[in-house]
Amino acid sequence: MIDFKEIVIERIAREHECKPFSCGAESLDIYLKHYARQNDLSGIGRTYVARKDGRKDVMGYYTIASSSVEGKSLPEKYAKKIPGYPVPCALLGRLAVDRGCQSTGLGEYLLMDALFRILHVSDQIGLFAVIVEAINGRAKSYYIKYGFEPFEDDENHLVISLRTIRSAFEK
Amino acid sequence: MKSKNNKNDRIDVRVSSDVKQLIEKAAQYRGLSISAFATAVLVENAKQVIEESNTISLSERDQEIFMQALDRAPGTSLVRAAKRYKSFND
Repeated sequence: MIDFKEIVIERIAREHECKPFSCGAESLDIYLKHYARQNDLSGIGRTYVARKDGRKDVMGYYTIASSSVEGKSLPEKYAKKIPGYPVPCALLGRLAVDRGCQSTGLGEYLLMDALFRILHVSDQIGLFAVIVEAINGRAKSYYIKYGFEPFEDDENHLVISLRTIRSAFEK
Repeated sequence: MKSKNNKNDRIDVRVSSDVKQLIEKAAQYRGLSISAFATAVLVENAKQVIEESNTISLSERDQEIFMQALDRAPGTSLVRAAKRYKSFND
């Protein structure tokens, strides 16, 4: 059992212990160990890690970045919904939990932390939706459970709107 | 009709002679013409820049899905998860 009151989620830093991290998807392990901090510093995508208060080993992480969605032309009927293309969005590119912490609710906790953080950002700059990248079918089902809509042609991405997220956190 | 693979388009780039010599030298190392070398480097770099900008291009069908998602009410799983999260962060 995890006591979430003891969980700290913060920007990735040198002192975080990433080496032992293993989530079952090698590409997500490699990203955390070799690219997450570098990309965080250069601004390509920010990585937030979860650790227990007083400890440095990473229990889980997610990466968020700014993003935009565009289509060929904006159908007239949607002109009221969005001002035009591209539509500013946030991209939740990666979310992973160490094997030792899986099935504890940490994944959900990280997902909510990411959405809550994006909600705050959207108050300042106006975002329409969160796009999430699913690494496989299991991840896809996981996001669908929380109300993300899968795209049909772009099979790896799903979407949830800021309005939906705001309303969930206000309830 | 023009095929996408026909090399009919040109890019002209003005450079100093120093820069040209540098590029010629690099192209020679790779055993490529300046044109082939420049194209390879530019294409590789352009792809990376686009990937880093995180732009997602949607098909017509996916645009519909996006628009429908904009004003959807949250489901019970999301509302419950948000509540749980808030209970730990008061």
